[in-house]
Amino acid sequence: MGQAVEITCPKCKKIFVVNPHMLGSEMDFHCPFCDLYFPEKDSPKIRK
Amino acid sequence: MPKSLRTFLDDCRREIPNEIIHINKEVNPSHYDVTAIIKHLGAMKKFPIIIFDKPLNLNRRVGDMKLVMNCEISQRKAQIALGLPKESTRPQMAERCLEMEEHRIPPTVVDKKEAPVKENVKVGREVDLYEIPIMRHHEMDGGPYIVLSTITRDRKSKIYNCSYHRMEVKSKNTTACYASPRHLWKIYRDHEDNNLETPVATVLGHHPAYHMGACYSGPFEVSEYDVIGGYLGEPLRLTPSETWGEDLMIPADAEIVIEGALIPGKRIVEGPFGEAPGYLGPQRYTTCAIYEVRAINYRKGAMYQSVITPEGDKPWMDLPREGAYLRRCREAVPGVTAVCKQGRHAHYNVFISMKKMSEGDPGRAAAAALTFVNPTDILWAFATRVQPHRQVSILQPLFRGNFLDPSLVDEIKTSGMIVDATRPLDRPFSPVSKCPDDAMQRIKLEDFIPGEVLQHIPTDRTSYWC
Repeated sequence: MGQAVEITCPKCKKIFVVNPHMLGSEMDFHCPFCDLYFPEKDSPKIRK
Repeated sequence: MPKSLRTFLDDCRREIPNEIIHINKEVNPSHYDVTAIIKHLGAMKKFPIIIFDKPLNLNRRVGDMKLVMNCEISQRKAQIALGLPKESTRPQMAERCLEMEEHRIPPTVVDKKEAPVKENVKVGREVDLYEIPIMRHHEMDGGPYIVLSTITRDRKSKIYNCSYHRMEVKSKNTTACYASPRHLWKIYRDHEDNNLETPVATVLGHHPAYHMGACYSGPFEVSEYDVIGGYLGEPLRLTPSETWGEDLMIPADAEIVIEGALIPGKRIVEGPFGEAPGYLGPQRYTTCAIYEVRAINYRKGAMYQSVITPEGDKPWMDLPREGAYLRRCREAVPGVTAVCKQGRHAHYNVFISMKKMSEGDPGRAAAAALTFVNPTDILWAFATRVQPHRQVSILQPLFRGNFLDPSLVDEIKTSGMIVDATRPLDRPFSPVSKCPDDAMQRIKLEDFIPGEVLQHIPTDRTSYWC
């Protein structure tokens, strides 16, 4: 399970959790609510 | 007749007829309908086997396959699966698991023509995972998930490994397999280091004894098909896979087997997913392999199985681990009498009952010596929210204790321990997994299960055993 980081989706504004290793990687986040794939820089809020 | 999910359901119809029901109404498993029904029943402490006769598949059509849930829940069903009398206690069941693991039975091979799982075979472009009624389990799950056990084979020793890895369906022939760093990961990395695809298959329905055997967590060198034979009490029947032939044999009596390859040198994002401890496992990618599905084998009238965790007792998952812990603890301390690893906290807490021979025994068994445990939410919080070096504080013996406390070493003063098992507020913390509220409100049990059927489903009290 491990640590979680909260990511806000730029499209639907909903919050979901990712593993900290996702930060700074080249992989896009995947919003489970609206299915949007987006890079870290597009998230309006990241809570570590 | 070889053991299969169907023979198990027949046994249940005979032994516990009120605990097996059909829902004939259409349900959409990818829209939380099934989760909501099971959560509603779980709130009533009812865990019947439910056969959904008309589940929508991911193409939003009623297809060839049914959906079966709750085969794994409750002590009684585990007893039926293992051929044990209903009077068996939980420690006796764990002992029996230990015996079955030690008396392994090698598999036998049957021709494809004799294998029920080969009654329908889809390969290449015919492969379509969306034809299966795969569930979306919890709010915030990254997508529909397959949660049953996956088979791989070590390249050098040729031993088979069976283990549980969540996998998110990404397309009609691709899943993202979270290969947490255990045996499957070791096998995958060995292939990857040699730029080879890893042969892989996943069983989406079989006798619960198969699933219990696949929970075996012993040494890498043990072929887990042999362990499964021990649990079944008969040789597991195998047949060649479509993709790898005799290099990867698959269970002949399974309901559905998907097969293909884990692709080397690539990773894929998957998650979040509502995991067994009751929280959302965060989205990740570093140990997530691309699972390319190249064939789907399934029986006529196939029944797809899934599991919602955590919901009810899980002797199916816990008993094999209790047996394994019993073995390890006894090696350290022969006086160990029982091990409990049950409930939502099961993955992280182990309670050991022992006949204490010396002061060092509990330490050597690496656990507290308890006689009775009540697996409640408190234990769950202890298990999933406490890092002892941060959340446990030992207070000096300056407090007034209780005269009745036999552990006192002072006339009345006692020391204290504070365990902060609250959810942290100063940092993100995985949410508790749940069915979406709107699904819980939308799904009314009475629309799916007639009142006269519901009232005859017994309440399962073994869920809170110990």
